[in-house]
Amino acid sequence: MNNKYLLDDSIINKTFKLSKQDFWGMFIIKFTTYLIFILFLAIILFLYYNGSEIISRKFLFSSPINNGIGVALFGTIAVCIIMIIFSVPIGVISAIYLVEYAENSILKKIIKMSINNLAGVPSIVFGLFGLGFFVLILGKNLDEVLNSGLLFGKPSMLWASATLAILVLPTIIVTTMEALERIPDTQREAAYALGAEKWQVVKKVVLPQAAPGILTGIILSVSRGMGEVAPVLFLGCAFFIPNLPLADLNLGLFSIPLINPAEQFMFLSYNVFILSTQSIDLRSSLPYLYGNVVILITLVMIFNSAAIYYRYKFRKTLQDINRS
Amino acid sequence: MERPIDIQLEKLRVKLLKMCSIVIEQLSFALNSFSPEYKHLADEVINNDLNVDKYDNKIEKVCQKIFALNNPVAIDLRNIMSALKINSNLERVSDLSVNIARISKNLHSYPAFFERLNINEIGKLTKQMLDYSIDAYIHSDSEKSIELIGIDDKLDLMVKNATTVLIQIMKETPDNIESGILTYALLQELERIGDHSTNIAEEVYFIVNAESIKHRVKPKISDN
Amino acid sequence: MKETKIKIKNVSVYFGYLQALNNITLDIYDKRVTSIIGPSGCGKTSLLKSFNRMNELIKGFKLKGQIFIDDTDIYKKNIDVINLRKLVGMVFQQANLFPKSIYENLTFAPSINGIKDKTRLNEIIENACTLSGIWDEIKDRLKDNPYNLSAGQQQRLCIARLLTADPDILLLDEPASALDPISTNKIEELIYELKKKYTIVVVTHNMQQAARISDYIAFLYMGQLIEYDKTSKIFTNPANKQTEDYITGRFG
Repeated sequence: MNNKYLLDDSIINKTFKLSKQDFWGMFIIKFTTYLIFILFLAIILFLYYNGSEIISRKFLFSSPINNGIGVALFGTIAVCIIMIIFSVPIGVISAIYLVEYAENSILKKIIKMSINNLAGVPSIVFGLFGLGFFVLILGKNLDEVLNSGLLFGKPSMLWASATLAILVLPTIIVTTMEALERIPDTQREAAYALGAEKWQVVKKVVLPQAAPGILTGIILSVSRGMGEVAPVLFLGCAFFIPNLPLADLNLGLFSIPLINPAEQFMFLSYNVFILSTQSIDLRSSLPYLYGNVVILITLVMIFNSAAIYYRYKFRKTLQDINRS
Repeated sequence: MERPIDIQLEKLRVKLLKMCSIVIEQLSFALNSFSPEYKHLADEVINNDLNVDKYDNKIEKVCQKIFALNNPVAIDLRNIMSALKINSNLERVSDLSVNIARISKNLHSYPAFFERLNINEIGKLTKQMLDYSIDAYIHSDSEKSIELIGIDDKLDLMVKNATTVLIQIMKETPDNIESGILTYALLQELERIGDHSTNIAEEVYFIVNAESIKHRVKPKISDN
Repeated sequence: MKETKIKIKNVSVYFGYLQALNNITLDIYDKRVTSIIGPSGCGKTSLLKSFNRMNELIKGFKLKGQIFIDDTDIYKKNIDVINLRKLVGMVFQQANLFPKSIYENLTFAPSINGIKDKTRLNEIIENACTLSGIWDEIKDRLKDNPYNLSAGQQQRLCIARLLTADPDILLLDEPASALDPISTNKIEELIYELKKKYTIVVVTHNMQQAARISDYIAFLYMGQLIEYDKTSKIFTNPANKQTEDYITGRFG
């Protein structure tokens, strides 16, 4: 039968040939993807298995005197909070300025280039910068001016957080700028046409829409910050501090314990570094090490998942706007 | 750049021009049928009227289609509006030519007094007016329209004079009353054809200049 | 008795070295619909955006000449641009509602004006939506996501949003070009209703639409005003050959 819709023998051979290439191509892609996933799963399972025996409430919340990581956990969280306080306002406001207000001039290009270069600086250099500038220059001068004894001129949580803040600043600025730039101009036009001033356009239209995108950047920065070792190395991180770095704020009738930023602190990733490289008896400190690592990566994964959620929300908003 | 409407406007124009040529022939045959050697033309004219009606319908259909599908404006709009009216005027001219053909058949012989009435000249002028108005349409010449209005006045005068003479003849020689009445009708038809030609010319003026010159006050024609 | 609402005198508009409009002079009349027609890129939107100074958002914008609204030169130094944009509202080709609730979209304009009282706000948005013919369709869905509305409804909601600012003049930049015929019809009916209260200027590509809804038509070509006259005159016997060629579809 000479029906043109029936497959000709020669065509059948050709289609098989194509599909063979397709088949191998797809196989390679699938294989590598699964490989990566399996590697990840293997690492996670290995760590969790080895660390599981030591994880307990006592482990999480007690001081290192009792073989707990409570102080380190506290230190990590406290440092991250102070880092956010330093970096987010500066980063977000700079990004808003660069996207919404600045003219497209050479200066703007130089600023953008500097931000990108800052992102590429090795973290140990940040650590040294922190020590040299914050502690030795700024801190010492502050002490002289305030005449309060050796308060700022020593490595402490404050300066460690400040250094980490500079480390993550480029990330925050860049992600905020990207989030802002992805809001279509039609939204701004709509607001202007209704009689909004520029700051109202930014505050009421642009920022709320960009917020999930900005939040993604912040969360990713925190996630990065809590995993860094080099910047906190000479800035007040210690391996063994028996008590939480708190100070009491005396308000007469009662006192509130506040984070004392002038104190030294413990840090989860620093713990991992010390334990792995400077243990006296590695065998016996292994469980403790595994425990540290497990908590650290759990924290990182929680934060990253939150970041992914906000990124998804942001994308959905953009899709809605662009589709309408 | 040719627009979709241009194709349909061309179709309309072709049909209308065909109609023009048929109607010119109708009038020409009807007038010639008064001569003894062309008596047979009278029947042809009467039979051909069906063809004219056919074209009348076709042209109306084309115009309706263009309006419905195209939303014509400005000059396109005027073209089509005028095409409809020219069409209707031409159809009337054909009807009147049929009437003339019937008169010719009933007048078995060429009446002797035709010479005195200058009927030949009147017939020729009527035919010329039709040709001229159609020529104005073909060339979109609105100058010819103005001229034609003047010629129509002349035709009206000629018919009026001929009528006066005819009445006189009928009074003088009552034997001629039968053919006289038919001749009177003939004169009326010729004058009407002249009016329709003028109407066609007025439509041409409207197409070109977007202005209507119809329904003007007819200038007073003095007696004699 | 028609009054002049917007007077445009010898206006030329430049964006950097590119000249968008050349020496335009015309009067827009109050409570009438004026359509601006012309082929793409002839300066229609530039002209429209000059009326509410939205052109100033584009770099390199310069205007020569004068534009008077209610006898006030709106490009003088002491003019409050923000207030001008409330008086001269604009709706764009694509509905650009904010990704907030319908209620928040509608109360945007009054709230940046400082109106906080809930009763007053509700009153304003109900009036605006009723005028825009969309109140019945959204009054039970005020907290909903506006992107769930159809394109036609969104555009009418944009018009309602603009009406909450209590403008005098409405500028519509191809308001129905992205809509299906039934929604387009609704928008045209709306414009016909709104012209009783507002001065309306519409930019449109659609000749038939311009013929249906406008009282006056301005034909722009390559930044020049070729002809400006009553709609019926333009469509039965335009004075200018270019106008006739354009409206009969011979170019553009």
